[in-house]
Amino acid sequence: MSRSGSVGSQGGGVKRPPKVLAVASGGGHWIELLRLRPAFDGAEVVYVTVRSFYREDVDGNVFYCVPDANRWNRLKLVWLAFRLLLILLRERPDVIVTTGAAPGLLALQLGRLLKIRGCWVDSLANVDRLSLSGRLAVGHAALFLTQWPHLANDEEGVEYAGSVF
Amino acid sequence: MIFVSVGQMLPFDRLIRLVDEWAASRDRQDLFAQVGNAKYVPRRFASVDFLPPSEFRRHLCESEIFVSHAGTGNILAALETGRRILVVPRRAEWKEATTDHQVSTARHFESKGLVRAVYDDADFLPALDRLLSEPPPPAISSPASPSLVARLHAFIFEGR
Repeated sequence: MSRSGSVGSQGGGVKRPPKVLAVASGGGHWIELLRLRPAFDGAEVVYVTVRSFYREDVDGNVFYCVPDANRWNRLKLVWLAFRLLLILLRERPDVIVTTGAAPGLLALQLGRLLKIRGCWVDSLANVDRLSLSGRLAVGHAALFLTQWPHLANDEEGVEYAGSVF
Repeated sequence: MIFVSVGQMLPFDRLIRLVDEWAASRDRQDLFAQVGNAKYVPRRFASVDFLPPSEFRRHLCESEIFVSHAGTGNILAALETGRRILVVPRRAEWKEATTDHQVSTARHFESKGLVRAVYDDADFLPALDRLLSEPPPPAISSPASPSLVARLHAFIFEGR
């Protein structure tokens, strides 16, 4: 399962760039993730999403397609979690960044078990309250960002720093 | 050409039907639609279930008007190309979405003058007529706001 070229961050000598696992489901989640790309400049980025034809958006990066699952299909969720676990073990990212939904939540939960820092960027579409998957992700993300100032909440660690728009 | 897209989640036949009515009553056939898992087949113009991103952008760039559900992905992609946009939010009560979040999205972009939105089917035909005579909005840049990019960059590279 190991990939050549990825040296552990504890390896001394030359400092390698951090590896980011960028996860998003389809539609708006994916478009919003693409708009975050300048934040990844200088990092090695591995993309995980749910439609194989998104590969053309991130040509030149390692790309994984996973099943699209939601909370109504438990069996598919289990299969999705298994696929994500394999990807995490194979890629060993330093950081997970996700714009949701289910694949991002599961990636953050699994990442936490593997001691990988995670960032959740809640979708711009959630104007009135945090998304359902976002509310579940709050405890699992080292950094939780909303794109709406009025949804920021210090006590719950929900931070506002701007939006993808 | 008028490009129509309803995203790729639940069916949104209501919008396809409205556009079809408009095309029939205005006698236009230069429309193209991405209809997702629709049951209704438009009679006046061609449609496909899904489009890969490059095809989606090509149709956007060739269109004079973009008619869409009020999903952030479609709206952002269309604003990046400086299109005139008419959105119809999906409604939970008709099982077009799981929540009414698209209504909030539509109101937000509408309040900034970036899209026109229709909340009542009866307003759709005149709204599309009106939009055809309006000037397009300026194109937005494609990255996120600098403050958000900086915050995320610090998290990735400095671990804070």
